Parts: sequence; structure tokens; C-alpha cells
Amino acid sequence: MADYNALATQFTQFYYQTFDSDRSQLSSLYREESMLSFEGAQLQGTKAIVEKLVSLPFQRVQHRISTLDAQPTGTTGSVIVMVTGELLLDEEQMAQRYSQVFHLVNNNGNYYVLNDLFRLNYG
Amino acid sequence: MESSVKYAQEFVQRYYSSLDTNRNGIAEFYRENSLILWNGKPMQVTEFTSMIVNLPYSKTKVEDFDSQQVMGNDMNIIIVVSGTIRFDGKKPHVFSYVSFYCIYLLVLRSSTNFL
Repeated sequence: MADYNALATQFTQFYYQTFDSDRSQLSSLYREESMLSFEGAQLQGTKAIVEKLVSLPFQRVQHRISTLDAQPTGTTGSVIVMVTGELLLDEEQMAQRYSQVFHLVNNNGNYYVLNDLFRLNYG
Repeated sequence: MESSVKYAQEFVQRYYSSLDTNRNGIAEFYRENSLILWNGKPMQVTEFTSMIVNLPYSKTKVEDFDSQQVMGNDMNIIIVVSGTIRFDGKKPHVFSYVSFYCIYLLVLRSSTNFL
């Protein structure tokens, strides 16, 4: 099996690059069965998920990764990733801390996000 | 999605209650093939459980958790938990507050755990 740490790092970097430049392009990284938990809201499917992300109240965003942990999940090719980091939005000087978990699944050589759980971290 | 919340709630209550009041019971949540990363460090289950047993007295407060069913296999649930742990030092007035962010992948009868 391919190195899951390398996969996790590459995928996560690509995900945030896409998110930060044009988050409407994230549709290719989700499928109908994908789920997103976002600050208490639970959504399913590419359309609902991308609509949610695109409608978030900011124009510019920058993700900065602090830590990244990955493990294989025992299902062939699947990887679970836990990221902590910071978000800088629009004109704000103060970054917000966040945590995000991705469960990545292999579909004919392409990975997509099956489970996505995002939380801002306070305190 | 409804049913995963109930399983997750029960798991979270049982796990952290065990962590605070029945350290030896923590091993029951894991199996031999469980994978554990503790602050980035991979650990074997036995190493992990003995580390847990040797922690100072702890009081855990779960602030929130998210859960999702993993499609295609009804018995798999991902849970992300956030909260605080208070450790009592030997001197009664010394406290450490630690914010924890844990993710658990529950597979029927075994668990994969990030800390």
C-alpha cells in the first residue's frame, strides 16, 4: 500500500490550496455519499457540501497547517487524517484555530473525502 | 445519521468515565489491531494503556463531539471529541488544564484512536 502519510500530506495540501484559491472547485473532492459536519451542521452530498463552503461569510481565507496525523483505516486504501491549524479570514489579523478530520477513500486511484469533520477551537 | 449519534454519545460517556474513574478499563475499548497516535507518537495498545494508568488523577470535561457514520459499512462511526482534562498534581493547588482533541474511528468491536 502506498505511503499513507505522504498521501495524507499531499491530499491535505491540495485540499487547502483549492479551498483558499476558489472553494467552488472542491466538488471534485466529494461524492454523493460524502458527509460534512461543520460547527454543528451535518450535510451530505457534493452539492450541499460545496454550497455550504461557498456560502461561508468571507472572501479570502488562508489555511495554515500546524499538525497532521494519518492512519490507515483497515479498509483497502482508506486513510484517516487529523489536521490542526489556523485560519486567517479577509482583513483579520487574529488567526482562528481549527481542527479538521478527513476520511479519505480510494476510488480507482483517485482519493475523495468520504467524511469531513470541522471545528473551530476556542480557549 | 441519527443512530450514530446515540452510539457516539454512549461511547464518549463510557470512555471518559473510564479514563477518570476506571483506568484499567480503558484497554477494553481497544483490540490488538487498534492504531493509536498520541500527540503524533504511534503507540502499541499495551504501552498506551500503561501510560494512561500512570497519569495523575484526572477530571475530564467533554465540551462537544461530532459523529458520522462511514457509508458502506453501517457499524463504522467516526467521532471527534473536544474538551478539557484537569490533572491534580501532588500539591493540591497545582492544576494543569489540557485541551484535547481526539478522533475515534469505531469499528464494530475494535477502535482506531487518535489523540
